[in-house]
Amino acid sequence: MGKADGLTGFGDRWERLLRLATVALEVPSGKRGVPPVSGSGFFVAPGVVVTCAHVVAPCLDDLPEEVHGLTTSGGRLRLRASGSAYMRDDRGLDIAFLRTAGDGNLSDLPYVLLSPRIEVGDEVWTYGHPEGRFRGGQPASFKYEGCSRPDIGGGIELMRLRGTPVGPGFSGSAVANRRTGAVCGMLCTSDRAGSAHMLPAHEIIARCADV
Amino acid sequence: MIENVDAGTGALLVPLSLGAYRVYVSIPESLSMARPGSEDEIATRAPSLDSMLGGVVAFAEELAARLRTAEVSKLNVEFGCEFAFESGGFVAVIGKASAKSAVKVGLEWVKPTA
Repeated sequence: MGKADGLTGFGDRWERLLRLATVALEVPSGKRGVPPVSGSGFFVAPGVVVTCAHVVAPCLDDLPEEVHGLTTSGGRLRLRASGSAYMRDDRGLDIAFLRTAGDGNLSDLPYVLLSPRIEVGDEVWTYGHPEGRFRGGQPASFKYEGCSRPDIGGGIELMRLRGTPVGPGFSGSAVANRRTGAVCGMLCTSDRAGSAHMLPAHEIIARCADV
Repeated sequence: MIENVDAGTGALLVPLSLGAYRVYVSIPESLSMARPGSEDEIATRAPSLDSMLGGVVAFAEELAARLRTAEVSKLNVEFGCEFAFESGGFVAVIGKASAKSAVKVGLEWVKPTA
């Protein structure tokens, strides 16, 4: 196998892994009449899915007990939400971890490799579950443009991307750096016209240990 | 939630579930376009009737409360309302009542006689 084949194989492997680790999320109606929500998430460890907090609930008081997940291979999951794993504030933090529940065999579900390594100009790729015709899964590609800060006084720096327009349902999708094959962030906002932002992987890694 | 676009007018047609029924709310193209530079969260939240009418009711209640303090015996107010679609939910756009308004709201208040 030549060098080109080897590189192709590398790309095939991490793209396949990312797709298999991605989960379509359905959040049922909340306690206070919060309408049902659809989004995406991905496994970061055995039995642990990360997504955006805003996918799970608008605020901690509306947190559902359970979220439904559907894997790319068609497996149905029950995922438990908890207050200690729901992290949202008005300075950009927007992360929720969900744990698998029930008696399903989850041992063969893969999880992604997280790495904060990214440079301006890197090509990145995502795979999410948008509403509509391609709810079953759809890719999108972007170029990384640098960091944005929502709050003048501090808060989390979000990473700006430009490329394929993405819409509702992509929140919580893993974004992989094509150069490293590792997941460098999680999609959280978009203008549906080609600009999007992701939460950096290091913000997820820093909170994994608390879950 | 799957949005459709009216081919004739460019209006966004947003499905709304009302119990066993499903209706489409027509959002004018000028109120439904993507706004470059203005980003929203990209989770899909099914819009509800509450989010659609809550703003109209709150506006009408506030208007009525303020008008009651006026030193007049009778008041008539009419305003029109269209709907924009933002962050997966409806937002009422209040304006002058006209034939084009999606909803026209009329308020009449008569001062109670002592």
